[in-house]
Amino acid sequence: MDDLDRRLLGVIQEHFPIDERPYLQIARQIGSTQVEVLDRMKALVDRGIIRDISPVFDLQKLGYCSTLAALDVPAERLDEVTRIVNAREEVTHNYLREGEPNLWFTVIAESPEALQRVLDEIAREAGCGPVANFPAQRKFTARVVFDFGDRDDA
Amino acid sequence: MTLDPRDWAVIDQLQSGIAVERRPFDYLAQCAGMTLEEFLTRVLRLKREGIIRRMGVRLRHTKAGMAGNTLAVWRVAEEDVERVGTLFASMPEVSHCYTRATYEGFPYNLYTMVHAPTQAQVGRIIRRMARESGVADFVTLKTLRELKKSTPRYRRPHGEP
Repeated sequence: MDDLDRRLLGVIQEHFPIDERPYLQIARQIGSTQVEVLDRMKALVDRGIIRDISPVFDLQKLGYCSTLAALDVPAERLDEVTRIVNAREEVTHNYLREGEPNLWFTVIAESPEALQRVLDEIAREAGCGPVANFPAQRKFTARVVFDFGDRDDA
Repeated sequence: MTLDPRDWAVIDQLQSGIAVERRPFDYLAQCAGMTLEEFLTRVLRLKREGIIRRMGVRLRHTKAGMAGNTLAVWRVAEEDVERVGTLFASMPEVSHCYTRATYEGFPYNLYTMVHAPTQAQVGRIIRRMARESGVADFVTLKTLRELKKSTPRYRRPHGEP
């Protein structure tokens, strides 16, 4: 990534323009051209640096609830349990971590009851003890951390 | 704010992703069955009302130069939660800082995600967090592998008009 890529990411990480011609607006903000911005964007997508261009929604305002859950999975069953957990569309993120428990995943559902049902079903299928449930209580921050030198934007 | 079916049509289209082309919202508006003007007006309102928390791209941490990622969990006394949570949330390397319910055998109540270009830097940041907060009881759970990361797909609740 060069300086122009970093300036581009600095803008579009948090402020993708809601405009007829968003890439033209971005080009104006970073002192480039629409053609160049489109080329750079395509390259960043192709290289896998940009995962997705879509908004982050407030899931509670859309009527959903979520939680962070964890399972302690023995090494020899990791692939199998990962398949069970990942197969659920309610599971949005899943990470293998050092320590115990080692498998940490986030779950969304349309009600607390539905959420609990998903956790119970995963526990039953996985067969390595109950799923630990860590619902969030208070949010101090949730944001992006990539600092591309756009301090003004922070 | 109450969401009407046309708002949900907008939300639905936005979730399918914004294309890299000159006028990406034209196609999304067409699919939502409305004019571009109405589509953009509704997106702006969703943003203003906080239903869209962030209008932006999602990056892959590791490919964007953040190779060190760790979940650090802290056991903080109830009367210290406000002070420590505010302190951790003020650090630029901390992306998420939440209090969470505890679970049998896992008494930690304050959760932080810490990111840096290297794992060694993450370790230094966590030691600084411990020093500055005075919280001695914590565990670090380094991210070994991302097994799934999908963009959630929200749907209009059943039974609503």
